[in-house]
Amino acid sequence: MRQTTVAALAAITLMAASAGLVGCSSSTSSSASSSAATSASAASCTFAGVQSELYARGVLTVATDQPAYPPWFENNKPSNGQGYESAVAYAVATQLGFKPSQVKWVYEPFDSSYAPGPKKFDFDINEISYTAARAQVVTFSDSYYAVQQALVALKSSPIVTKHTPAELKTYIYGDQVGTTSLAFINSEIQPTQTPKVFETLNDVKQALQTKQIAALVTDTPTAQYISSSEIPGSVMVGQFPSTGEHYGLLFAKGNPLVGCVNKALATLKSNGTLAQLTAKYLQIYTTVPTIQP
Amino acid sequence: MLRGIDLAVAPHEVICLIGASGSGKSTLLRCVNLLERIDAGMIWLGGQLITGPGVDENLVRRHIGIVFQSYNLFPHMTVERNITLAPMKVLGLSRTEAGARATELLDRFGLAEKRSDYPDRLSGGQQQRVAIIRALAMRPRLMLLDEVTSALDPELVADVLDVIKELAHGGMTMLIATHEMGFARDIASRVCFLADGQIVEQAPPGQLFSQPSDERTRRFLRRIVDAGRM
Amino acid sequence: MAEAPGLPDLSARRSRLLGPGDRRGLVLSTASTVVVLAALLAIFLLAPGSRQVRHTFFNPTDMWQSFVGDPKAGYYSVGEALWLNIRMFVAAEILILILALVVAVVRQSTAPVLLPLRLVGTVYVDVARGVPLILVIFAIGFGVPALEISGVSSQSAAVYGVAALVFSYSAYVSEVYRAGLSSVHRSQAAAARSLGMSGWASMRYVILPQAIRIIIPPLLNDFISLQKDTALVGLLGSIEANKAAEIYSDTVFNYSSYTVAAILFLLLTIPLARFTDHLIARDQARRLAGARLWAERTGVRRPGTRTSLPQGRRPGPRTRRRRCGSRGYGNPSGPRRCCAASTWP
Repeated sequence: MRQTTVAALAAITLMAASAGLVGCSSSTSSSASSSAATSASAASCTFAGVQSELYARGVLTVATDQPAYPPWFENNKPSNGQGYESAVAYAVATQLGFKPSQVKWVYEPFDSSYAPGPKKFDFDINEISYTAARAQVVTFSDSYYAVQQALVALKSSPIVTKHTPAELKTYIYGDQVGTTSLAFINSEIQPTQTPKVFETLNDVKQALQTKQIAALVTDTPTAQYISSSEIPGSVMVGQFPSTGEHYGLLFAKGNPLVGCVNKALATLKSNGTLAQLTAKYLQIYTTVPTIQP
Repeated sequence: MLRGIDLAVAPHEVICLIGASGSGKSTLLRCVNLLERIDAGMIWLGGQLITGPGVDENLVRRHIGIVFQSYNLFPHMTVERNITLAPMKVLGLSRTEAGARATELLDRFGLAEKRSDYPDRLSGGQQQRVAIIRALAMRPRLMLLDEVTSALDPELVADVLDVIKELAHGGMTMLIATHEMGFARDIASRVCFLADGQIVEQAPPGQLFSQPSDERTRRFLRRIVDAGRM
Repeated sequence: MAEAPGLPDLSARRSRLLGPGDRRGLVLSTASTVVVLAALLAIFLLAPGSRQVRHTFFNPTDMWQSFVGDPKAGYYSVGEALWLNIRMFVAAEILILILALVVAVVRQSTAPVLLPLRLVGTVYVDVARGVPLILVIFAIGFGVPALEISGVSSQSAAVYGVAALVFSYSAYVSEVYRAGLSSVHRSQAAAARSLGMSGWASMRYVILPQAIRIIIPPLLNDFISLQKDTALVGLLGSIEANKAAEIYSDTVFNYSSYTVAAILFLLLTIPLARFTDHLIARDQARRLAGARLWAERTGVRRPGTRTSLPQGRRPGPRTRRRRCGSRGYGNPSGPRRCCAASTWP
């Protein structure tokens, strides 16, 4: 009886193990066929051609975070087509043959947008900068916006007038987690005091208003919007020179859809749509002072 | 519940309180040392009213020692610390003075070798004797003993009774609630029988035990005799 | 044992599974544990997404990089950031132990003069336990600076974080103290008061020391929980270990930094948990030892055993006559004592 009990236990656990193996076998086949599919579907970036690469057939599923900030989105409603990123998403969708009603928006917090495993969207548009390290885990589209970092401070803060490179090192900066602003602060500005890193942009703005940070570092369009419309008594001190950063759309690693999306972006650049949208949403000031880090 | 207690205790007297459980013996003792509040009546100690308003209870309790049935030693302190705690913190004695008092009492009652032990290493009889010493260390004028042997094994009772006898012979004024009738007969100046919160009868032991005047006393004593405890 | 008429055989029937001795049982339980753990490991290693998950969560390079940090690349050292967590929970714990004790003592007292304080204490405990800690952190961390009170409003985020933790945890810990205070028997307070000690002196020397010994395990439990709640202070912008892990993860798109943070927290809490177990066991042993010794010395015997003195006992300072004819407690059928002097502790 003792031997049969042990044997029964072993059999049950082995069965459970093999059930697990059988249940998760679907993902292996899709990644194997993706590289072969890229070249095949390059020719047909039409509505019908991309159907097989979509998360949900017949619909372009686009993800972004909550809250969705201006000037990238308006009124926290990505589906209204206003705001630079919302407009770019709809423009790309139109290039691929989707009608605006065939675009579906979903919420994906930034922290989980790069999690392993299958994604619940076709692409994520969320002011995500391309970096080589990130490109090993996800696939980025080509640039849809070239980014420069900028400073926002309260008018009463000394940084408004004193911002030589040496003086810049003395302030406490704040930025949002997951943005490339932190790397920029630490490598270009090199402050003596550790910057503060907040979960959301709203927290950073709050910290600026309660004087817990001297200045906020974010990309130029966001900085422009904050200083002109959101925080009374704030000013954009200036923007820093470009370090070659750009925003890209985020795809699951190896997603073949990126090929068609890149073609769409190229078209939008060459026919001036991107420049138009930039002028409409992202250039509140005609000139922006530049400061050196 | 007490109803109408009228009791006078002269210095050096030993009063034994006997009666059934719930007759009010413990309550009476706890009222004397102000652990229980009385609703009506007066208690005088050494000519002073201790139940009036504006009386400092802590001050009163310094002069009254009480020992409980369940010893209530402080388990987180050694025997010596148990004894010296109140003299040091309440009377303000120095450590050496309090220690000397403790040594004297421990020697007198044969527990000198236990001074550094914790209460959980002592037998019940030893713990009770330490409890008595702890109360004596405050040099009280009156000692209240609330059925101090009721929780002890029979072979340990004698030790504790010996201690109490020695105290009585030394002239300590005592109020003792007890079930030990033989002991009461040996040691008491007066025995009070309580029932339903009243003192039914009080008399010297010789008189009360052999010729009780009240029917309730007679019944109680008869029950005691039948149970073989006398 | 002979069977009494009418009773079935009462000898214990051991199942064949646990054969002679417990050795077979031990072998079986070890074998089944190993099999189950191995099966779980196999499922993890053989799942199709296993390689991806291992790379994302357990990649040694990323774990090392996040542990060491590289601010210029945009991420900080998780190991160094842990030091902020440690400083926060040590500071918080000290303040919590003090504040909670005050609240507990005030709430337990019966003095009429303390009634307003008692009401405040009750309201405080209800509010602090009812509001989620994360909301308290936001309220204090963003609200106090916004009030712009000079001096108070310009502290670092960690200070506000510690204040929020103290506010929230003191309520829970004060309830633990109250449980400890109530578990000290009323007779202890009666004994202390009867010796003339004031309410305060009896609390300080008699009740509190006993109460605290009793509640050390749940206090340590709350302490361990506090260590992990320091992670919430990252919401106020300070770079503590979990925030550093998040920064790394968002910069490089790899979750291994969270694994590093988890391991570091385990290294903090596991020794503390084992120490708590040790304290509980030692306290039990002391109490049980006391009970065993007491039983030996007072002669409480199991029925059927012979009367004998414990080994190695010296004659005590007093020899006395035992009462003739007594059998001793718990020995209703044993031999009666003779009337000879005997040494008895």
